[in-house]
Amino acid sequence: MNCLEIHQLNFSYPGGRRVFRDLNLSVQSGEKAALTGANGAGKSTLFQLLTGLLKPQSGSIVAWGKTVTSEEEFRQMRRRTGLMFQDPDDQLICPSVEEDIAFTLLNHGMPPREVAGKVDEICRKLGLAALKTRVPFHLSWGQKQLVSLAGILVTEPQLLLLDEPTAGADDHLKSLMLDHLQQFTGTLLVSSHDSDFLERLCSSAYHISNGSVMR
Amino acid sequence: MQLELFSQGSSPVHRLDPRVKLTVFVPAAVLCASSDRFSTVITLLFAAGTLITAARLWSALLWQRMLVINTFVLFLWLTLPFSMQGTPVMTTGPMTVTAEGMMLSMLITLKTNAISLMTIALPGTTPVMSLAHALQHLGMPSKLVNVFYIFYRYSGVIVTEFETMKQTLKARGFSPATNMHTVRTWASVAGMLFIRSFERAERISSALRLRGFQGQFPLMNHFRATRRDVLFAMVSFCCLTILMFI
Repeated sequence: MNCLEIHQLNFSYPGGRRVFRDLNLSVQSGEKAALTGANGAGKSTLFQLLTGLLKPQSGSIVAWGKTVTSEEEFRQMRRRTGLMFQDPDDQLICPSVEEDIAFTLLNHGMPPREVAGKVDEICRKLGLAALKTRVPFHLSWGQKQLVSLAGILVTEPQLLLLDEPTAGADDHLKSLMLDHLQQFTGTLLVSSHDSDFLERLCSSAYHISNGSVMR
Repeated sequence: MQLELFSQGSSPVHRLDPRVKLTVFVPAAVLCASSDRFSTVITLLFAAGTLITAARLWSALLWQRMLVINTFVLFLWLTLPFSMQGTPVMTTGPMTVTAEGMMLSMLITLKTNAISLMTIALPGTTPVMSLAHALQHLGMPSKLVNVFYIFYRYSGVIVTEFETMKQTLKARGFSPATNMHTVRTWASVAGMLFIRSFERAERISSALRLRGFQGQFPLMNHFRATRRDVLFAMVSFCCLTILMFI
């Protein structure tokens, strides 16, 4: 079964720059796929379209067999999807690491006691236990990226979209991310220029060029 | 962060319920600002000092803060005693210092210091996130609370971006001078900073939508007013009522 399908998608930014022309893409459930392309090719835009943060001019997005069009349908889809932004400062908003990791679960209405247990568990897994009470904005870039990832993984997403996860990361952080992402059992779509990281993590690759995707 | 310089601590004042702190702070500050009696203002100054002591905040940092505030007050002393009509106390050339001007300057100085110390002792000893929550509990509209918190959260990021841009300018050989090139450069920096802030705002908005944000920041640990909070509020309100009517 396909986790994700895109049919004949067209998207242009206001002002006229055309990003996608009749784009088609299908990603199978459990697939770990790399998304490559030149700077400005539309990798981040594609992630935003997939999560309903941007609206295409035409075309359809099918997630887990169901066409997603309305904001409510995208909201439901986002509950099963995690998107990691390129800049962790865009994502980390709470005054402590612990609260930031808990943020999405609390928004989804999970009881605080249950959330606390899940936060403890993910912090232990990612080695963030010592940082739990720290202010996220004062952490190093690598630590911020790990906290962002923890905030996503704690929600146990079925689809994980990572936008340049290794940008600015050192070798230690890369191997730590790799270890945890290799254990991820859901569907993974990673956009990156880091070919070594992609080779070690992904089993398939899609290349964006001139507004369309090639496998 | 500037707003949280005094927020960390385990003193009894730090541990007070943020809602109680705000409920006491607002009427106390209004009373202090609107009173024209020295006795009321001095009592409130003394109360603020006591809270600062209880919060264990007397430090070089606090004195620095007070120095900055009193630098502005100094400008008041340079004009008000000379410009207000009343009983002459001293004449220097064409300038006459009046007793009423001196008294008013003194009253404003005391008020400024009392309110500043109160601000540091009560809202200042509360983390901004808790303060935002307390404001929401006290009926402030969610949108205003979110704007307050997000502004606080991202002002530091924007300052860092500005610092990076300044370093870039330096690295590229720019040195500010009194000329059009400098004006144009700073205008470009301001414009670029605005554009970057706007783009960041869009990304933050996307991130919040992705993370299921529904207009209110959730809390893991909810406020629970204790007997000590209730006692503090009652004593404070009694004192404020007495001060208002004596």
